[in-house]
Amino acid sequence: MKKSGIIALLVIAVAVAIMIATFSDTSSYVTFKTATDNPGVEFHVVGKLLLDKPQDYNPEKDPNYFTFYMTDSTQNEMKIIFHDAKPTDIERSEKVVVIGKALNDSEFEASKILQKCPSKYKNEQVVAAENAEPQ
Amino acid sequence: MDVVYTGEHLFVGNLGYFFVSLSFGAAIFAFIAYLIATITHEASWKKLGRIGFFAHLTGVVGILVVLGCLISHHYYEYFYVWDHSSNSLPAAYMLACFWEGQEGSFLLWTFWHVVLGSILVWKAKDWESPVMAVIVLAQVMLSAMLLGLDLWGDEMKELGMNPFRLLRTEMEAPIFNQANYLTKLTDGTGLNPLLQNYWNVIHPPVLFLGFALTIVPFAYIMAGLFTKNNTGWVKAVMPWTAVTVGVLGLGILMGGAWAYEALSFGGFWAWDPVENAVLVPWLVAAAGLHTLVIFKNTGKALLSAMLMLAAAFILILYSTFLTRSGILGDTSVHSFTDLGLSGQLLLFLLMFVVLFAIALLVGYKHIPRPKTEDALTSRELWMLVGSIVLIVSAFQVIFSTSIPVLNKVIGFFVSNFNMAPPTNPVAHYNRFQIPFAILVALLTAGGQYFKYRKSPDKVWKKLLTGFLISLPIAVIFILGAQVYDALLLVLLIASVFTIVGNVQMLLPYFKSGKWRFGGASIAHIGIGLIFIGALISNGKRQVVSRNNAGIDFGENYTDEEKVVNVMLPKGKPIPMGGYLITYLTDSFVEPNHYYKVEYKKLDAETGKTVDRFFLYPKAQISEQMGLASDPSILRNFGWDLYTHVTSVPTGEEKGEWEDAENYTVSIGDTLKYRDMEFIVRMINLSPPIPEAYKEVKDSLYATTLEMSFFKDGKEYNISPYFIISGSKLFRPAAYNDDLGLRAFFVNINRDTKDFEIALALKNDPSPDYIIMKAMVFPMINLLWLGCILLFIGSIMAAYRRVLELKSKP
Repeated sequence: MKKSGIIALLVIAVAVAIMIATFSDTSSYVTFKTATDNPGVEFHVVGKLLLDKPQDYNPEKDPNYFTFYMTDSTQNEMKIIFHDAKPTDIERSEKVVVIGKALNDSEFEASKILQKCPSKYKNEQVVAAENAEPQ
Repeated sequence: MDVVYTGEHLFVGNLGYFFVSLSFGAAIFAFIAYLIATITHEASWKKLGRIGFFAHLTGVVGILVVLGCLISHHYYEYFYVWDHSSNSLPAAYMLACFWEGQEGSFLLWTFWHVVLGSILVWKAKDWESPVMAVIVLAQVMLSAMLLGLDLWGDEMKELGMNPFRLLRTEMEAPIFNQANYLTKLTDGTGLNPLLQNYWNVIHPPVLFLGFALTIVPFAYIMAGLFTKNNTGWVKAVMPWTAVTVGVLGLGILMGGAWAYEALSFGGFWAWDPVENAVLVPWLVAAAGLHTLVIFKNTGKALLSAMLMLAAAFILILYSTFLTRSGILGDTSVHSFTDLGLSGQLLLFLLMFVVLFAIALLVGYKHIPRPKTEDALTSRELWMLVGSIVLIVSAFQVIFSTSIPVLNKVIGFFVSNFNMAPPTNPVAHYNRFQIPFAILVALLTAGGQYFKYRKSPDKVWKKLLTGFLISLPIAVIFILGAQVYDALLLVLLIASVFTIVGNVQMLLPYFKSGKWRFGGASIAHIGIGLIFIGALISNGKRQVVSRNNAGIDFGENYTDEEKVVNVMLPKGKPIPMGGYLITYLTDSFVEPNHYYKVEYKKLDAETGKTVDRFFLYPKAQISEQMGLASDPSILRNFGWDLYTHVTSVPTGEEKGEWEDAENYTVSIGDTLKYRDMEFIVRMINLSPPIPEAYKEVKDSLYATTLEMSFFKDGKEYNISPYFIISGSKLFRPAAYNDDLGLRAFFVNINRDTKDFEIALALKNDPSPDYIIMKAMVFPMINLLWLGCILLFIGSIMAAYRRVLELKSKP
């Protein structure tokens, strides 16, 4: 067999291996129910911060421990534990994505939190400008 | 309802839009003329093409000048100006306003195409017509992004986005019912705080030049395929390709340096989709360059080179689509949104894919493909293998980055198909890319020893010698940096081998004074250094801000990597990573908070200070972005100490307040509170509205009482607010952190013209704190040095190829 043939076969084999390995590495967007059914497996959960429930961050005791409550799209609620500093102004996030795993039926340990900020912010500034006194 | 607005500068915008139309129309005209010139070979059509191109050039430059004029004059009636600039923006960042917005970045890209097009008109000679036809066709697509034409009677589906559209047509708000709305709209929303950095002034122009450069080899290849002359362009394209690789590489380096210096990603590379999207075309272009060199020296692999160089341009279009269509959605920390151009971007991409496919069908027969076997000791075989490794590596990166696209495509056939990206992207990409890097390093080293076609038999001995020289050097790095991971160890040895092999290659050139042949070797040495710098600085990155206050955190904390933040109460020294660090003060200079942190190294025995310095990590706290933290880095020769603030207490969270004391004051009074004197200076009837009240919908009247406090000979200003909104009254407290003081209004007495205010001090003199992360990146300077060598080497290689063009006509 010619060298070019061998190289071509190798490339195809590696490319297929990459695709398969990538699919096995992907996570999935789930609800808390799936996460608690598969404890220890890492998932992405999209949801909303519960502002009326307590957030716990006491940096004098431990700057790497922050907890809050969140509901997913099916209105299930879980306590999120984040072993890192509290993301500043997380209260303002319209939507949060937590990446991590369920510890038990009520607690979810997040390794990463993505915040999505309010998008209507700019329109409000126009409104505010209107309300200001003329200079 | 027709309102006749006052104070608007509509003429300038109309002039701008005239240039937009001119650039679009002229590009179409130039395309048609150059196309006919290609087919008929008539000089008159070529001349018309040139006229069209220069009219297009005038349009593009005109747009830039008008937009610059709008931004520098603060004409906030224009959406782009209002959205991307503000009065307080320093002049240097005015430039960055140009490319913060979608429209501006397309404009920058268009501008570079115009510059490159001008060079081609001047230099391309016989190739001008077909090459320029391709380039002006891309310009038609890019100019269309700025048109803002409402073709379908649907405001959401316009063709392009006009950079000169007015704020009042872009947004609906009652304010626009007033003819004099501009008297109230006196400031813009400003540049995103994360982008206010000098890197953002220099990085986008370089990166977009890299983007633009990829079209030149592509245009030549298309021209060659359609005119059935597939070899005539190779010499001309060589220097262009080398410059593309150099400039795009420099752009990526600058992006990494920006991420490292200004964004708190915790490193220079995070495998974020935005980074991947520019890395992939660079990898493919580098592969194409090497394959083209093979063709030039041996007459083989032309088809591969053509496919790779064309793919580099197509991938630039694909990357633009990925990062600007909003398709990446939740997968990135960057907030991507669909800016309304995704359809056009997709069309741009598909059009060039289809055109290239057609060109390939037309010209395929005419591509020379010699059927000779490469010898095992031929340089071209190993260069080709190296190029293929680069392509496969690029494929892995773009495949994983494209997961959201796969979701869309597969989701078309399978309902509810929604994959999320890997939870740990760094581990995911490294798993593949470290082995690829090892292969690339070994091939870059080994390839140097081989000759084209067939090497003399002693080549294996030389290769082995080079490898044996590398080993002891690698051992020094391994022991010095304590790299014990098997894969990283192999990569380190291979990278040292790359450097040694290329230094061996370079020495004869320097001895004989033919240094200009050394470009490739210098670039390769750069690659070796980049690998070493990246693997040591990242692989041996140390988090020094571990919590060592002696508190037991319990069993949840087995994963040490997570415990990376340290709390620094104001004024209290905390031991960290061999230093005693103290958060001293914070200061506020619009728009940044600076946190002054003192680092002291004490001698273990005598307790004397042996080293002392300050770092000033800064942060902007805005409603829009939350905490936007800028790192502060202590740069050393061998290692960087990298610190950034991860969390700060906001306003009310700081400490307990004593009971307030009330005072009745009037303007001009001088009074005493505790150990401070204070003067009531004036009442301000039109202060800036505090952020928190900007969301209030009812009409809003704000007043502040401006007071000066004196303590220890220093003056501190504090201005509590009195805000009436509809029937509601707000009296937000004003704070001064240095004094630990807060002041708020109790009442305004309209009859006696005096004011009742309340003052309170904080119980605890120093409850203020910052939460900080600190890391040490060892040997990161090798990475920067490598990047610079890579750029210099590429430019030298391009220069050499330009000389070749001149010497042999």
